[in-house]
Amino acid sequence: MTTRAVAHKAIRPTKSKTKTAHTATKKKAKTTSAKTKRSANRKPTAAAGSASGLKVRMYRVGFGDFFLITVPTGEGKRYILIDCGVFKGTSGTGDLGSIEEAIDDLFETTGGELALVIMTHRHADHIAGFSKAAERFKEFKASMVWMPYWEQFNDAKDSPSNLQFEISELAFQLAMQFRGRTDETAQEALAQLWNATGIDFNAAATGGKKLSGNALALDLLKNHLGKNGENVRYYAAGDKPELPPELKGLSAEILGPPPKDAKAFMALTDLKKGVGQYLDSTTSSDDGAKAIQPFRPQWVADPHHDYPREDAQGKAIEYQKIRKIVDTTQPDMLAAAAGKIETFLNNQSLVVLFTVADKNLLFVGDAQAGNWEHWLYKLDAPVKDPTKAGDLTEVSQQILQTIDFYKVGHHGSTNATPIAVVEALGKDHSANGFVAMCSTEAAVYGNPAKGSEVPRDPLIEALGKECALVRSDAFEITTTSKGLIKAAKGVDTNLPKPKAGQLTKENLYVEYSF
Amino acid sequence: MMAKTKNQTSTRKTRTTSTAGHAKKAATGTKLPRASDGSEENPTTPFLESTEVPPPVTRPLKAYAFDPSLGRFIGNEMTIEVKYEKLLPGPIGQKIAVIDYDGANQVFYKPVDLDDPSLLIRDGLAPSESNPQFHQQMVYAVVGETIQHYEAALGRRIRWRRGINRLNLYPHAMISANAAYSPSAQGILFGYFRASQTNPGRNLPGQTVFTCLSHDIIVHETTHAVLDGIRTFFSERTNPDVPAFHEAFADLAALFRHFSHKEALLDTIQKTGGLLYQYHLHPDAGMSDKEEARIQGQFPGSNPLVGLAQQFGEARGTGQALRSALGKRPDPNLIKDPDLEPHERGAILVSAVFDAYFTVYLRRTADLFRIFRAGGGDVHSVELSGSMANLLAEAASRTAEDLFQICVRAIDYCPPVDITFGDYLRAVMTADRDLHPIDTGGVRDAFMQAFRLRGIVPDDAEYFSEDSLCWPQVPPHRLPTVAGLIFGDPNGLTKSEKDQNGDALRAYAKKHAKLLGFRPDKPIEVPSFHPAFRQAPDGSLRIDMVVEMSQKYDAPFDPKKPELGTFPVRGGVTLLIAKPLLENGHYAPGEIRYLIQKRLDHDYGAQREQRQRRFSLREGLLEGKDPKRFQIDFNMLHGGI
Repeated sequence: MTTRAVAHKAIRPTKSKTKTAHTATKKKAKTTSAKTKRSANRKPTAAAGSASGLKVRMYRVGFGDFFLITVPTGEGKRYILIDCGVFKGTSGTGDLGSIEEAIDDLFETTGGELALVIMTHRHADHIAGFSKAAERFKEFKASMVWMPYWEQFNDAKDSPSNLQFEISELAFQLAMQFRGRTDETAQEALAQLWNATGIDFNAAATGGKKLSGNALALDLLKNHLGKNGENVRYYAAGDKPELPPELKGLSAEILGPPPKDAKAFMALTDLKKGVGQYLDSTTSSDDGAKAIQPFRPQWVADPHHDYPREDAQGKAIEYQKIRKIVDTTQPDMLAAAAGKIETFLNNQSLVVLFTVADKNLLFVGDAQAGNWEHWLYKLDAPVKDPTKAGDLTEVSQQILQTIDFYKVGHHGSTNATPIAVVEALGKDHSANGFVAMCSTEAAVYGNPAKGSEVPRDPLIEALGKECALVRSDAFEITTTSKGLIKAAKGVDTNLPKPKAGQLTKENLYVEYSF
Repeated sequence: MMAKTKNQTSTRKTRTTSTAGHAKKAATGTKLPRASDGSEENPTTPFLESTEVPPPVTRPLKAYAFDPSLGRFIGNEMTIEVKYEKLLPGPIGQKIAVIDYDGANQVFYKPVDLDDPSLLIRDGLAPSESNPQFHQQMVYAVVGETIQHYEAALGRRIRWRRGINRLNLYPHAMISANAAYSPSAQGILFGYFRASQTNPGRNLPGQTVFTCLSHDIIVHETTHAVLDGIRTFFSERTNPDVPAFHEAFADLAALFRHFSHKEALLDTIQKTGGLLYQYHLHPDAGMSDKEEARIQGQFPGSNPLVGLAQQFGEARGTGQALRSALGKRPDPNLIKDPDLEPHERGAILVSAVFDAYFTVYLRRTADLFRIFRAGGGDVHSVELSGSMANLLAEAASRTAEDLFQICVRAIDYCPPVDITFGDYLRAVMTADRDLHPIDTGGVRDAFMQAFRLRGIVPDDAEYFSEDSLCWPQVPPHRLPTVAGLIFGDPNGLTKSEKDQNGDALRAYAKKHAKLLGFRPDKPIEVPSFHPAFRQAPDGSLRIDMVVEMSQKYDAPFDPKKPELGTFPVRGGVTLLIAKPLLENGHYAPGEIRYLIQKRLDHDYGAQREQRQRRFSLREGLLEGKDPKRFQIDFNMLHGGI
């Protein structure tokens, strides 16, 4: 936190210098020193070695994040795993069935030794691999596991703030309301809830207390890879992260999620309170949820018999139409609640900026508006009026302009890469440009007619103009379970040429060598 | 009593047999009519004297004054006098219709027939939670009464949003701790839900709570509908004040209604020693300092006048925003917090208006208190004499009526789009000064100071003074006159008169686009015009046409990346056009008295666009293509989701 504040202040004169050159002479000395300080902060000593050998690999598993960074050190290669998940989504086609093979490949590449494992947040499309291949993962070792700040509340199993418990409970109840419904809204909500818990609510109820879905993945991360929590670290924006000693030469900065006492957690409790009313007001039965009945059955009327045909102005009253209008207003609140859980979890995403040699790598998980804003605009600072939020802070602008690698947020969804970011990324970017990787699968989520498709075409197009952008679904892939799966329609199937380094592709992954 | 019923039935029969009977009378009209019972004709009876019972002016209907949770406490049951109209079962009237369809259970409930003699004789059904027909009656009564108040304040009959002829009221539309005005459902949806099992307040754990039985919630939702009918683009989310304003205004309407309720008011005056703004009431039974409250009469109650929708709030465990806004020292910095949720933000406006209200009330009653003290009365004691309490109640209720009218009239003086709290303050000041040029009793001063204390200041006023805060009046002959307008009368305009006005106003807008602050390259709409008839303090009738004109263009979220989509930016003017005097036997063209703008031209437009862009991005409006996302969804707003 303090480092950030100092850097932020120190940077300020740079702008005034460019703006009012004649007044800047006095400040010049200070400016220079500030700049070096900042650079020293971000770009560690040359002793860390060159960037040669630095790689980012995006495993192609479908709709899900699975990234591997290879870090060159004096003692050889070291590995950072960021997320390992996939989710089939609303369409059911998001999972390519390749994740187990990809995990085998991960084992071969790393020898099962991971210096650092990062779980950005607890959605199935970021952690399902840990449960799908739980046995395989038991052969892996990790020196350290990083998780977002909010996860630590789950360690105390029966504490009132047991997040996993709260979310699953809420999700289970909500899912019950949607079960058996086939409309688009309900299907989308069910998918969101499945993603949040890792449990298929359409399938038969999972019996017993055996861990499954996301709970199993988290258990593996915390207890096996994280040695019963001993090696697990929880971070929020501004924390100074602890790196395992073998990653000497690499530095990391935590930009998100917003730190404690943020309103996000409160938002979930409020949500429970709000949604609780709807849940309390239904009783479950074998055919799904049933509403409470407020009146005795004798009050029920036949509109054609008991109601007037025409209103006072002599116009026919269309009871069928009225039925329809009122019926369609029903599910909105519950679907909105499912959406809230989704956003809530996405915004917990751990956002990490790595610096190796002179290369900067930004991994943002699925961060959405609230998470981004916190560090982009520094909203805890005095500028509070949203309409006067102004431009990005110079620090965040500088971060964005100097990155060499960007993991596209939330699979290219429109809510996860703010326009201001696309703009800042493009403006005056360092001569080497940057590479962006987007792990996604077209036509799994959303509807282009509503502008909610993932990845969002205009965003990908806009971002693609600024950098060498590669999508995981741009090439065909052969998997043992599903055979050949074709590339997404209308996507450029050529690997882009970055200004620096090189992109290569294999059946299971795309890799960028800096 | 029996006779009365008989008469009423016969009246109804005569009326339903309709025109045939009237035609007969007209035909025999030249002779002195015989009394219909065939009795001997009395030559001294003036022929207008009829044995028919004249139609009633109002229809009395029972309702909860607050909500069922307050039980039978003093004044919780009231009889509302709704303007009489003939009703079909529902009740279905001219402007509103109760249609009791339950979307959660997918059934209709039997409609109440308020014209049933056995209901007519006892002012409708008695309050009951378990009888859906009482719910229907209460919703009809409260919505009807609220409409009357708005019509009185605005000086005209209200209309619903274009396309809605009859506002449908669904008392049990959904399972939801929520009620919402929905333009697409052409009405108001009231929800019902189970009270919390663990923290139900005064409800039984798990009992069903009906939002349609909360007087406050009904008034609140009706206000949304009324406002939407007056201002076409008011619910477009363009800045953080917009949703907050809707909530605040609706809450104000509900709160001011409390003060017209004599019994509750008297009770509260007695229990606060006349200091109506106090949140806690003195208990009915006094006790010594050391004693602990044992019986309910010893528990201090909370002031029902300054609380909103108590049952609802207690059942949900929410509703603290208003209480805390009214119960705290005003903080001018609070309003700058961007994370304020619309209700919290709205509560700031509510508390400002209520500060003004209580200030005016205390000024108006200061002499009463002085006389009371001079006569040996102890104002610190809560025991006020009956006549003192009566006088205070009268002052409180009159002041509430006055301030409610000012608040409502101000709507006509608001710009048609992109409202901010600061704009509203300017509208309040202007509306009141327009009708009462001299600020007797310091009403405007009270408003100004109350707003200032809470950091609500207009963007563009130069000084915080009355002169500077009022929108400037258009000097005579500065703007071209508007020819061809028909002002009509309070009964409304015919279709052809409306068409003529529409044409005249559109032609004017097109011709004088630049003068009005529009961009000449874009079409200008005239979404609404309302003739208003108001009485000035000198007794004269003032006739104005309140006109909204607006213009829209689509601005890109990112000018450099048009593929990311656009959002609508609107500019507009509110015009107040005075009905002219006769000149040589003809009406002169209408003179524009006020021109209240949100401009689109020059820098104003660019600045507003930029401000709205930031707001839209922050609100996540970039996502999706549905144009509805730019509108306030009252369902979600109230649900807090």
